[in-house]
Amino acid sequence: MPQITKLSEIANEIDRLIHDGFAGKTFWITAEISSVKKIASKRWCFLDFTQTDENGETRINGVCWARHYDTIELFESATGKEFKSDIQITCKVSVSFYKARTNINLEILEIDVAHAIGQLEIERQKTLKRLVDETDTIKLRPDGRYHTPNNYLELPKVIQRIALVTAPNSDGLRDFKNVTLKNKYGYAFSIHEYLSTVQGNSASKLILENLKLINPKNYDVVVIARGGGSDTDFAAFNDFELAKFVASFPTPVLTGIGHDRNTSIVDLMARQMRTPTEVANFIVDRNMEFEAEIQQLKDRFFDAIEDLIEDSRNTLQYLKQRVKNLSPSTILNKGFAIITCNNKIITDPKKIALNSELDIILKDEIIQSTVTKKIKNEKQSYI
Amino acid sequence: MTKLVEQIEDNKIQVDTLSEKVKEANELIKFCETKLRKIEKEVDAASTD
Repeated sequence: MPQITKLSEIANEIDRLIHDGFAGKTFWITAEISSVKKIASKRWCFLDFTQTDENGETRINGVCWARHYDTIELFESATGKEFKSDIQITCKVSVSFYKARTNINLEILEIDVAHAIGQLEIERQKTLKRLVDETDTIKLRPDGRYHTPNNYLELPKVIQRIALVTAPNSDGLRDFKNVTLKNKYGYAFSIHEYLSTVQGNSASKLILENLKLINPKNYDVVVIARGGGSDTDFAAFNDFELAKFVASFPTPVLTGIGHDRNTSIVDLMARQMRTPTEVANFIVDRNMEFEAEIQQLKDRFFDAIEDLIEDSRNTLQYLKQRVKNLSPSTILNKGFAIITCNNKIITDPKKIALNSELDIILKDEIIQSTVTKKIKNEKQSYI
Repeated sequence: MTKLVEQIEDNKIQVDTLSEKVKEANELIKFCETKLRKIEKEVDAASTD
């Protein structure tokens, strides 16, 4: 009869060996993660680390306990990316042995967030470069922003017909509709919703499908909103195909994707605002500015009308005075006379022959006379 | 509306056509105010395509 060893004894021996070999040791690793399972209530996370090199694939179980769970949260908020399967992370781990399941685990102690941000930025820059290289219309401006056909479209002076692309029952949807539909000026809006999830793996594809359903001629603007919930996982808005479609969409696109730290690629292709509420306020204010402009024009118009009437009145007054000054009675009052011959006013003395009978009309009397002599007034003397 | 204001400010309007222009301006203002607060039914219908 061979000597029987209990499983627990083997487990204890493994535990002792691992403890002796790894106690107090930590390692920095860079590996793909998969089978990520978060237990939010306990702040635990189980996962697999995978690395492939010339020796083939190595897979080791991983875990993050509540005491270091904040490093996952920091990773998510700093990168805007969900901590989920199929991403690569660099992290500090210790080796532990879970006796009950004879399971060797790498326990996550700290994630290198700076590295993660760097990786993300490299991917982002790659996508941006591809957008510039593969289209003739998207151009990088000297200020680091992007010139696209969409963000150079002129915005209508009045925005009323809106296609809203957002998630069903989301805060973004509610916020946007509240601000626009309950605006204090009473402006009317027609909002048509194109709803799909805006987070997760398939989000970019679903948003793109929704955008393709929109007839651009029917709307003044398209609003892409993502509000409420966590500040993570807007990876969908860095998608190449979605960004390319937005960049060339023929109706202006306004984005309120709701994140502070990062600008997504879709934001860069369109007109970016921070939140759905901000987009809604922008639209209401734009209509208000238009109304104010109309009010100003109205004031200018009626001021100009008043000025015109006043000018006309002054001109009329002036003409009246001139007519009065030139009237015969004014001339006679000044001591001048009017000479007529056969009831016609004489302006040319050459037409008066000797012995003609003239009427010299003065203010109070008419002197009838006969021409006996004509002398040239060479000295232009009037007295 | 801008064109109307400029015409009057630049004295390109005869006094005897003023009342016509005032009527035109009032109609334009009313149109804008109404449009801002009421979406035309047909516009709404068209955009549901």
